[in-house]
Amino acid sequence: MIEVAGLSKTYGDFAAVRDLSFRVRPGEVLGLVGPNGAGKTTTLRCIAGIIPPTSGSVRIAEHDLAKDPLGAKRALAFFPDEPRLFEYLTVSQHLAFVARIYGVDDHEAVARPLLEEFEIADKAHELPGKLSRGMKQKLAIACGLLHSPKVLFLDEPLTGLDPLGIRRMKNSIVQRAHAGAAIVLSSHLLHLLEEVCTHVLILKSGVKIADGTLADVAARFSNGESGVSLEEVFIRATGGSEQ
Amino acid sequence: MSSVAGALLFLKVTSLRNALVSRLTRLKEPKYLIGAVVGVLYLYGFVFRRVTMNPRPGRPGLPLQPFTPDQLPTVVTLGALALMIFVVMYWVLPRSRAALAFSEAEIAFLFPAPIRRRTLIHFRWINTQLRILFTALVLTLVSANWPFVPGNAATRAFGWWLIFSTLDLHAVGSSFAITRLVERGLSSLRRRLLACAIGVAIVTAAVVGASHSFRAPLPEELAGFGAVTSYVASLFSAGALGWLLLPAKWIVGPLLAYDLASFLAALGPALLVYVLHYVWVLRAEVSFEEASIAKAEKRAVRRNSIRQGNFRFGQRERKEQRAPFDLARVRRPELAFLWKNLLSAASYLRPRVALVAAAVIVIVSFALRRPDFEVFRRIVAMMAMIGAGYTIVFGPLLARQDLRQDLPNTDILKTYPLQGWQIVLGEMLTPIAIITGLLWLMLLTAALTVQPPPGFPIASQTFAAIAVGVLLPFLSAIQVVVMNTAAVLFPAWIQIGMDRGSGIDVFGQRILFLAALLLAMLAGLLPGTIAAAATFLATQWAVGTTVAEGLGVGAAIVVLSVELGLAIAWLGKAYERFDLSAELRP
Repeated sequence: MIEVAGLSKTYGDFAAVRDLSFRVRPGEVLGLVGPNGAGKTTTLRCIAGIIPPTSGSVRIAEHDLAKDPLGAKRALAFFPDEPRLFEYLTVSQHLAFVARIYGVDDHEAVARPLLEEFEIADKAHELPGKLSRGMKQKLAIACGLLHSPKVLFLDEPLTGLDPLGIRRMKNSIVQRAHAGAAIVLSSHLLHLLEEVCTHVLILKSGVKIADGTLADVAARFSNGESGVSLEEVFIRATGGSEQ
Repeated sequence: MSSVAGALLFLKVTSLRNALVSRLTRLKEPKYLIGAVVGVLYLYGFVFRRVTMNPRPGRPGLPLQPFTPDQLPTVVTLGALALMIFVVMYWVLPRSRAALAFSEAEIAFLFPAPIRRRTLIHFRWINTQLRILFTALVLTLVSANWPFVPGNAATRAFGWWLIFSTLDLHAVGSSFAITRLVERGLSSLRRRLLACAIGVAIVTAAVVGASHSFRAPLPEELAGFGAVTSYVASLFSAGALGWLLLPAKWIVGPLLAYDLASFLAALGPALLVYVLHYVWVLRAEVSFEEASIAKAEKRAVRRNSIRQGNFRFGQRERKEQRAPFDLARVRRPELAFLWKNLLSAASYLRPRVALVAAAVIVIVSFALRRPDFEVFRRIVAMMAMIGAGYTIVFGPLLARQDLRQDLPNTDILKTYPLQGWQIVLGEMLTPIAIITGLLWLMLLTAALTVQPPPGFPIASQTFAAIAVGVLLPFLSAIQVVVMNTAAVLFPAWIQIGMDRGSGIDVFGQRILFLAALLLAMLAGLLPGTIAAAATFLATQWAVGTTVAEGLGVGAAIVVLSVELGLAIAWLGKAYERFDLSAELRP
């Protein structure tokens, strides 16, 4: 579903991501972890088609992102860490606009359960300025899910959500993976990754340190110990600090 | 110096030094270096040189002549009166509770810290001094040639500094006093009424007390600006009114001192007033912390809002707007952008409002054709043409409901399954529609109210109006394309959704950028103009003037359409390659 091969992104002399390759199949949730500045957000932006990679290839739902960007983008949804909303569109107008862009017919029938799932149905006529940070996040998520994407990219998806929102978000991720979506999420919240991810990829200074199932990665850095937490694995793999 | 004061001073000095170093370091980049050179040259050529050079012989001077020492009391009185207007406003105009200007970071670090209230006030005083010193410096330069501000640069600089510093302290002191009154149960309305009543009572008492010197003006005292000002000054120079103005006169004294001796004489009383203000502020036992936090938050919201390209902050709170048209009925995604961006524009910028306006223009214009409305018709015609000129020049700068507004949302826009040209075209439709709509309305007004020159048949006038009307959308589109090209290619050079930046290098960049924009627009219109002129000249002899004009317009439309199509396709590709993080990487 998601195939990344030899992905690199450089800014002048600075390499944000170097020769990154990985694959996420339907039903898998890949957790992207790494210290600050490791290249997680740059990676997500490259594979979501937001910024062009310097080299390498990305395939989304069998579409080559470079050759068929529209086909790839119809299959994906990207959720930035900060909800990016149009300040002058109400909640329902956001959904109407996104539905038109993605060609979702009868979007109201699709949007209603989403709004109810994220508990913002009663805010349909509110502008983003009237919404709390968490509600904005929920609206951004609802907009992203409106076209039923097969591939989801989430950058720090729990930021700003209340405990109930966090639980719903986690359930939503797991449910969509069970429904066949391929998901990549970037987060510093390692307990989130342990709960929802089937696989993990550790980045440091733009380079892949390790990837695989949680058990595989844990085994690699456990030094023979049993029950090593992802936090401990992360610290051992990266040194626990910015590069 | 206490450790706290030392720490605060360290904070200010280090911040200032780092800001300066940061500005100087970025001069390594050519775009900032070029900007700095242009900015310095502009300021030198158009500001410093102009205000510091001596008036040339024979150069038309300012209408006011330099005053003589015997006119000093008049000038001082008038200056004091101006100062008193500000003072009265501080007490009468609506004010928030006592709040000192701190940044959010300063509040986060300093308010919970073991720092005395007095130290915080001093810190705030240092903060404002930087701003005041800069203002005083600018005014010192600007007022160099003002005949009623004598003295040299040093006395002028000190004089301006003293005035602004005292006003600043008075603003703080009055806000403290008003807050105390509010805390004691005095409502805002009552406070203002009380302030007005006290003011009226003082002035009345002063006038009554000075009734022996209060007299109606003589005819010669109303002959000209100078005579009137002398009469007004004489009223406020004698008796109780004179005493009332005394503190304000002392404050403006150093600025208006005629020579060193009068400056030194004015210095003592002025500093006395300043020190009294300082003591007043320091001794006021009013809580300013809560209001300061609210003020800092408001400033932070405003700053973030401006950084996101929203310059409408502070205006009325946004409300849900009625959709400009039924989105469900359009299939093209580009029109969804038009729909979205029209929602961000003022609610009167809608097709139906334009239709109503057109109907009103037609009715009023026909009514103005009556001979007794001739004057009004001419005024309306002139206003329409001036308005059209302003719209052509400033419309593309003000109508920013396009990529300039939406570039911060690039992360989302670029995940849409659309070609780059579709996003670019869709984003640009709204400003094009707004500018064209406004221009059409003004053209309609002008066409119906401008009196054609003798021998210019009505048919020709109608044809000319239609031809211009047809060309206007293309003109607007060229302008908007240039603006959006600049936003995509040089996002760090213009104000989009990012930090607006500051400094002489950024100032110089803006000058360069505006000049380049103007050139680009002219270059964009050139092929169409050449095509129109060539077609007209080539066909006029064969088909006659009117038909040749039509052909010329047609040729211009074809050329401009091709040009726009190519430009949008190219810009779409550029947008697909656009990487905001790379553009703004320091």
